[in-house]
Amino acid sequence: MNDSTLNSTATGPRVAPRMGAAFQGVVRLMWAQQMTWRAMLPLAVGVGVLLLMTYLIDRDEVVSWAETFVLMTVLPILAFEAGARAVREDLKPGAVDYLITRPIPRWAYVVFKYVGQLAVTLIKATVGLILIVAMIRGLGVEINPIGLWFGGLVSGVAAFMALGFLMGAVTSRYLILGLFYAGLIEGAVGNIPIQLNKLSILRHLRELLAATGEVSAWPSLGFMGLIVAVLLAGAAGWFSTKEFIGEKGGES
Amino acid sequence: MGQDQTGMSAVVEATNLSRFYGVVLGLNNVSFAIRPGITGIVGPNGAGKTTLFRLLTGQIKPSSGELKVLGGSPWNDLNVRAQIAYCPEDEAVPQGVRPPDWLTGLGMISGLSAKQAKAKAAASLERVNLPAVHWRKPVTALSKGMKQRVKLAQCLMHDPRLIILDEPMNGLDPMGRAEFSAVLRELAADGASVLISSHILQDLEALCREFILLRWGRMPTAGNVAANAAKSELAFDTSGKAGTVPIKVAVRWPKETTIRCEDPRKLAGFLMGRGLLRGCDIDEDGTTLVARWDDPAAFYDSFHGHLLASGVAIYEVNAPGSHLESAIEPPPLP
Repeated sequence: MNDSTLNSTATGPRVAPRMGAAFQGVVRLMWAQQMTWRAMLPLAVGVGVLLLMTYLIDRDEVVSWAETFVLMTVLPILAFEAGARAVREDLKPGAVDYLITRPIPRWAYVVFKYVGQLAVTLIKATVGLILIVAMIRGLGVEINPIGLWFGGLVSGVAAFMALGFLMGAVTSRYLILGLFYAGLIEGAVGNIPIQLNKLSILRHLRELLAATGEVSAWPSLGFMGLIVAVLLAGAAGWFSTKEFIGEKGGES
Repeated sequence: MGQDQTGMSAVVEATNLSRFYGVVLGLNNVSFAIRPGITGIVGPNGAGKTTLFRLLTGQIKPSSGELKVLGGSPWNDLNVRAQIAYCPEDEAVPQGVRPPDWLTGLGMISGLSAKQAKAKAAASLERVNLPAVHWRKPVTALSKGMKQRVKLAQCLMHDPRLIILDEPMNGLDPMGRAEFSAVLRELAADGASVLISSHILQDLEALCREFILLRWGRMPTAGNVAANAAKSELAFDTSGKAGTVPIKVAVRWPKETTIRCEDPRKLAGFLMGRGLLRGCDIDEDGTTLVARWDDPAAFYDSFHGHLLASGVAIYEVNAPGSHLESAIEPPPLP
């Protein structure tokens, strides 16, 4: 293997650490684990159920149902869960030993993992949504603008996945933390007409989807970007300082 | 990298190293230097072996003291981590990934290109003798012994200078342990340093030239070790700083070994033919050979080879009162 990454000198690494290769390696492992037929089966079942529901919903209600239920409820939950589970899987004793001992900064690992997980989830979600949009159009109902709809999908998944990353990094009981967040921020603060309601991701998502001449999409997109950056920085910061003491905890 | 009194560069240097988990003791004020070669870490459960490995691989930070691995700190020095490989005791492996895919991904995280990583993954799996039929199965579906081979293979991906193995022989049959040992010897011959813990002390005795003894998070003092050594006819090299150097076992082979096997009579004849036996007994059940060695080193230096060459199915090899076992035995209560 004649390559500049290999070093045959008596000291120093024989294979020099490279961030680009590390990113590809993280994504490759994720792809190998998640893009299999077995891993796709629950998704196929879920999309099938949603398609059936789309078919059964009243034609006048179907677009609003798709937005409020699919985009505002199902996708945020799935994105949150996918993000949190991605982090928790890597924090399992055994798994963490193989990854954290490799020459990659911990913050970079979290960012790479997030980008990879986002890509995998968006591919799956987009396929599902294309089928749902096709079904809605097949029923003779216009759904516009589709581009904005998918813009909402990307930003919503990105934000809720970042939230999942942070909560998954902090605790194995991320679902409890997620429910607490949903009740306090999305359910309560997000619906009160004060500045704090900007903390609500769903609020920005709603504004994004309803973007017309009155409400520009840019501020909401900006807030979504900021939220993703803050949540991801929190997850990366926490991951960087955490010590991995293994399954037995304090035992040696 | 510093040099010890023999002039060899130490791959690991610890000075007054301690690690506590709250009020729980992990390691308590230990100092040692590990030289190139194969070094065994021995001690009973809870002695601090895994804590030491986690410190060496940068998963945890020392509570106090100093630790240098290959001249740097494994906690935050990527160049150090790029030279280390770790095979944990834990059997957890990623779900749904085949060995070549897993190794390729890990190799790329270590800095290899996709093409290099693929080639290296195949070479590593061949080196640890993982039969090709297992390459297509998910790692989680492999037997314990096969998983151990894959776990060793992932250590070889980036040609590390220090390989740390926590109980790697668990679940391996005698032939697997012999193959595993042969790979470790090859790695050491290629210039890698190997740090290994195992509860199978006979294997460690056959494999390692030096040992670090840990007990209750401490290294026994040279005096204690020497006292145990005297009792068990061991000679320890404590020529460095008292209690701070790996303990060199100069005379370490037990003079007697029990071997439970398919045909003790045939095995005794074979060993006698090779001039290894001074005497022997076969137990009443006719299943166990008690061998007394003419020159224990002649047998133990390649005991896997002797036993394999005999053609007799071996079920268990035991050295009553293994010298290493005697050395790690806690001192009697006053």
